[in-house]
Amino acid sequence: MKTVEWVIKASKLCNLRCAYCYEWNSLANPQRIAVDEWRGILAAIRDYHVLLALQLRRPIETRLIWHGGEPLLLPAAYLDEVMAMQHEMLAGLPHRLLLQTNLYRVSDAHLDVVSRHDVGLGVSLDVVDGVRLTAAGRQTRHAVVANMDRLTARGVSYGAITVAARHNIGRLREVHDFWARRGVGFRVLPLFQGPDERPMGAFEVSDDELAIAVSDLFDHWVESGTVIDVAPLSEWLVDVLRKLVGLRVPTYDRKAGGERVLLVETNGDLLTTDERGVADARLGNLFSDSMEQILSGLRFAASLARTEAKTARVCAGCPHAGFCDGYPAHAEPFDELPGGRCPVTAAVHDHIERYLLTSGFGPDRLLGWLRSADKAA
Amino acid sequence: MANDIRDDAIRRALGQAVRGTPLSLFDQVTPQGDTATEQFSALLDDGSKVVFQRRTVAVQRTEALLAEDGDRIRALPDGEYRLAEGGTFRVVDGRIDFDAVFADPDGVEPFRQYGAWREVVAIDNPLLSLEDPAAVTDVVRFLADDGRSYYVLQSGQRADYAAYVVVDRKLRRLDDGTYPLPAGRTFEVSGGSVTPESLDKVKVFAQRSTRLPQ
Repeated sequence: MKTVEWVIKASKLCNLRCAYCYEWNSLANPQRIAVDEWRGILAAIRDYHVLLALQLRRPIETRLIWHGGEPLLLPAAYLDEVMAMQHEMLAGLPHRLLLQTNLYRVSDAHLDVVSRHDVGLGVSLDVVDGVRLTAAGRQTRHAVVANMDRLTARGVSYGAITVAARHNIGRLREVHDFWARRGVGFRVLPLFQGPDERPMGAFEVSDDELAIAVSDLFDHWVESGTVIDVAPLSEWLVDVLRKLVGLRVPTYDRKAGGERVLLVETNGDLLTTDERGVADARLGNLFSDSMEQILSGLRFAASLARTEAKTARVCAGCPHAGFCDGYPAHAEPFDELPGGRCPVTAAVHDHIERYLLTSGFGPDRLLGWLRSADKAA
Repeated sequence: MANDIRDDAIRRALGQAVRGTPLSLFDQVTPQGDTATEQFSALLDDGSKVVFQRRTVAVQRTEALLAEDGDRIRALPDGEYRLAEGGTFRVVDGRIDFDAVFADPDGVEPFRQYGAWREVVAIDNPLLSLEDPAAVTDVVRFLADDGRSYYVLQSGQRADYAAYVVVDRKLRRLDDGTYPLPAGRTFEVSGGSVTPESLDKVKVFAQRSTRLPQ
């Protein structure tokens, strides 16, 4: 089912100071989205859900992702009230609530709220020490792992995100094995851009180094039998397999297919994820504009044009275009080079293709599998 | 052993890549959203149960599968079969042989007598009468109030939709004019294509009519 994700920055306040955090300058700001302001955001989300489902003529799923800052620093009563409102205002529409947390400090009262509202948790953990520190500069890994054990004991399942940067790119196999032992799938997020206002030496890593490290992670993941999902490697593997059997997919097209991920800032500004932090790129403000106004506005039209132009620039000439849907060019901000492809993504696609071909997974074998699967069906 | 593990991993990913449809092998056919699967069953005269499973992407096909204990199914071996209710059919290379169905020596169309079979016959064959069925990227089909089976087809991602009616199990393109939809509604063909306003109606109201008989 088509999903639309709304990443909502409920507050930027955070108890950690991860060196690469792009929200660095706002992490001490206690401002949060007021309950009344949530009502406007949720009305827009509901309206967009209905409009898009009608446009596509099929059901879609809306995902609300609590993001920050650290959402579990917000008072449990506030979370409880807003989450109840989220379910109430989206009643009858397929939807899910998710929350991305550093899981450094979490009370039982907060976990009760999360369980009561059936909120899916995503835990941010790099597995390797060095970058994710408290405001006082202390390491956080042991506390987070202990809290993951609490989740397990309570029967709460969760996913995970690991940022790949200087501190852990040489140890991604170890990162994989850590999550695999826990049976938790994870998303490896190559660090494309850090905060402008901070020195990046401690964690900065080149695109080439990231591509090599993530490619090595791919080899390890496949040779271990893909026992857990490792995004986006699982998505990229599917892209390459489609290329090998000649199966094209529609290109990422916001105009025809609707949005995939939208970002709501604490001040109500609405942005695409690859233009986060660029005030001029905002599509509108959900505290003052209706979704209908935003969708019919010049800012939105200009944003669609920018997306289309970026797809043309980044995907033109890429041998994976048409098999990869082009979304990786839009998932995260990155520095475009003239004639350049997606950083890391394109190079890892190349690696996966080489790996499959040299390991005997050429088109003939894959098509043979499909034909035999067809008969067996 | 390590290779077996890796083979299984690649095979699973491949299954995800093609979403279970052999028609996806045609690069002109682009899956639109999730693959829908419909299924119904009939009893053979020996008491065993056959499951007919339809996978819908852009073009459809129907396979015959033998139902075993529980939810398990397996391919129906090639051969001649007779339904408990009297009809016969043949499976060739794992697929239902419609030529055999229509070449019934008694001139009877047995499958049309059974609700679900009527759908199979009405739905699966006509697309194959197109010059290039693999070019089709979207299909809307419905039985209209006049009792005839209509198809509205798009061939190419940005192409207009053309309308057809099934005549003698083949698709015949509709001229400009007004044609029936289910529940007393109508749709328009103008300039050889279904008008955009009508397309909305077709997509909304055809869904109701294409459900298989319960």
